[in-house]
Amino acid sequence: MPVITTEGLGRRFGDFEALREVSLSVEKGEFFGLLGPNGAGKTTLVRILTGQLEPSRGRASTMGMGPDDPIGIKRRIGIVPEAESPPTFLTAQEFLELVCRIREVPDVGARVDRWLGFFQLEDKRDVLCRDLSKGQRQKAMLAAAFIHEPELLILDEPFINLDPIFQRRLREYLQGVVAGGRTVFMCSHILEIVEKLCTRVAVIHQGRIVAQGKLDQIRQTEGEGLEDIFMRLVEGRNGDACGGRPAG
Amino acid sequence: MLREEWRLHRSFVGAVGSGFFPVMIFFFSLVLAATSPVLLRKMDVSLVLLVLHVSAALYGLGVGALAQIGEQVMTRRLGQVNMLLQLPALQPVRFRTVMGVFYAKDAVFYILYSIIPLVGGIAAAVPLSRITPGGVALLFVTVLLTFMLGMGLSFLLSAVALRSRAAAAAVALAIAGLVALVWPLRLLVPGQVLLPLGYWETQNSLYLLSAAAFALLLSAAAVLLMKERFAPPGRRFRGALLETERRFAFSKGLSALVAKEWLELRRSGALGPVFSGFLGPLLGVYAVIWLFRSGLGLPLEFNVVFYGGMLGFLGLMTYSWLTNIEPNEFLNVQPVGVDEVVRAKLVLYFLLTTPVSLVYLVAIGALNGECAYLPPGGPRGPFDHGLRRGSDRPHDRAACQHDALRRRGLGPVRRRHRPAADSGHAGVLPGPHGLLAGGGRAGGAVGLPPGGLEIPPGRHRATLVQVGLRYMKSRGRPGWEPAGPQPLLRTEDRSIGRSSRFICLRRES
Repeated sequence: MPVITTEGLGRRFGDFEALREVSLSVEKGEFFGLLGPNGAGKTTLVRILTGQLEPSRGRASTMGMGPDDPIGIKRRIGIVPEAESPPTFLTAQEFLELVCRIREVPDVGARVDRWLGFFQLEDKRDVLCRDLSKGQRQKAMLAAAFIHEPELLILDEPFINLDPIFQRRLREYLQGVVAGGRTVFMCSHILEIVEKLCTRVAVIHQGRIVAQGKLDQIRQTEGEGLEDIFMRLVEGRNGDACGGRPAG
Repeated sequence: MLREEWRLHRSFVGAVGSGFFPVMIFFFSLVLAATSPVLLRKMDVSLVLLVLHVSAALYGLGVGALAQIGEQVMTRRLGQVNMLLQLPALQPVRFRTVMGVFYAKDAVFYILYSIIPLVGGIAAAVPLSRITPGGVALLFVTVLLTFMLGMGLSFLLSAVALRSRAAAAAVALAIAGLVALVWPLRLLVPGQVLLPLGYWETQNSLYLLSAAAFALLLSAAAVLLMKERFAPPGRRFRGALLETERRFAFSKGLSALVAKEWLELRRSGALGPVFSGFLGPLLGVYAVIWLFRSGLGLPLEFNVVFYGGMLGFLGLMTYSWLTNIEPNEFLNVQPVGVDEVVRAKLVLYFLLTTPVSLVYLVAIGALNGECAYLPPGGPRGPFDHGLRRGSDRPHDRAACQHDALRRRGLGPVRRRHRPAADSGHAGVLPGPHGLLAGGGRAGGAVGLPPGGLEIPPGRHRATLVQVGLRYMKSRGRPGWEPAGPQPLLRTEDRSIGRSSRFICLRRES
């Protein structure tokens, strides 16, 4: 049963076409990875799927709800946005408490303690989010997305700013989420992590999905790694790509 | 920096709103200057110059104060490095240098944005008035210097306050003392404090030179005293969200968001500036009008309804600041509607401003003797005894007033087909000495029929009562100084309508 579907999805910003004819489907219990170079349309797609943006054309459905029901979508899912932007003048503890109160989840104190503990933020619980480091702010954002244990997690660059210890810890947690029958949809530039975690991937380039499926399905040759696949799909289609050398 | 300032203005009120302000100032000053031949028949030119220069000084002070609030809020909104003012945090440049440029930028921006349109409007009216081009140029210099003195003073106060609040309070007290020497003590004349005005009083260029030197001195002192400051040290707060939420439980589903807004406002340090940014100008407006009316004897007819309008205007600015304290980006990924966020901010806005607004309006109503204006809606207010309730339609209100007069034996009343503001007999309310009739501007406030009401001549007398006393005294007209209620004029005398606020109508014996 798909938890995310899009058909012929398009989004324009003035003259710029950020998404063109995007069609994909993510099944329940999948760990789905969305890859693409900077400006390919990943964040635009994530924003549509999470009810933050309306498509210009086509259809999108998340947990059975369309972009016309953004509150309904956000209630059912957990989202980590691209930028770590917790509230400036609330402490880490208060931020998580606020999320719990907005989402009307029970056992606020126990949940907050659990996630502060998970990300080793106990000693930072009384520090304003403004005064946390980038990595700590990212941990607070992750905790806010996980705290209500949603059926679907949509994560935009969740590993960014995390040290190797917490990258590993997060990886294990997400694997556990999928093992428990829940779904993860993740955008990432860290191909190594995507290769390790994702059961299926899609590559988006210049607003179009240029490949999608299991890694085995999109490999052209035996042993071709995800990085090679990515380079082939992106650079192969981009005539003016600079092939690893600085442009100009 | 100028471009940044303009974009900042546009981000608050849009390009049209930002562009409209100087145009409005230009036309306002054009109209005033063009009608100056008429205005100056009743007003002394020195009084006009005083008003203009005091306003320029206050505007300069205000620009400095707003820049302080703006800088604080924008730093929070955009982070520590986005504004050019934050360059010293990352680049090898001293904060004082950037602050000096920032100060110069503010001066240039506001001169272009408001002083030049103001003087430009007067210049455009030269062919229509007796003002000479040389006079306009001189006015530009003196207004500019006055504005710079106000702005320099404000920046100096900010710089001193960053080092020591007590020292800043001492400077503020010294300035207040200087003003007190002019008024009410009258030991100095205004031109001795507002040096550019002194030039107009004495034609001595030394005043202009001294003003320019003082403006430079204040600015230089402000820049030199500015502290090198970067990100403040991290602060810790014991979890207070849930407890605060309980306090706002009356806002039901919004309580968590209201609690968040409240904590952010308090911890950001914006509560003081936002609160004083609302209360300060309110008190300032009243103080200036009171000063001009009581101290200088100017006939400024601003009633409590005008102050109500000011509350709305300044309230809008306060709300605008509230919405700019925190970008709230994280709420984009939470199941919260924009309407809920706006409503939470409105709850906080009302909690912050309502007590101040209420006390302010009641105090001004009491001071001006205009408490009768306070209950909005006229016929439904607590002062409407004897009037029929339940309808706001104009013809019903007229009927109510008609009935009230009849019951008191003052009828018949017939409708007058002239605008009510011109009539001497407008809204009618029962008072301790008979029926109170609001005349002139007051009529509009108590609710009068579209055509106005006319009480037939010879049937009753008009008596000035307490509500109007203060105003009449300030006008100092012979024959308008009642020692207690006394017969004044017959109602057919239309001068009542133009001159009185309230009269008491009595049946003639």
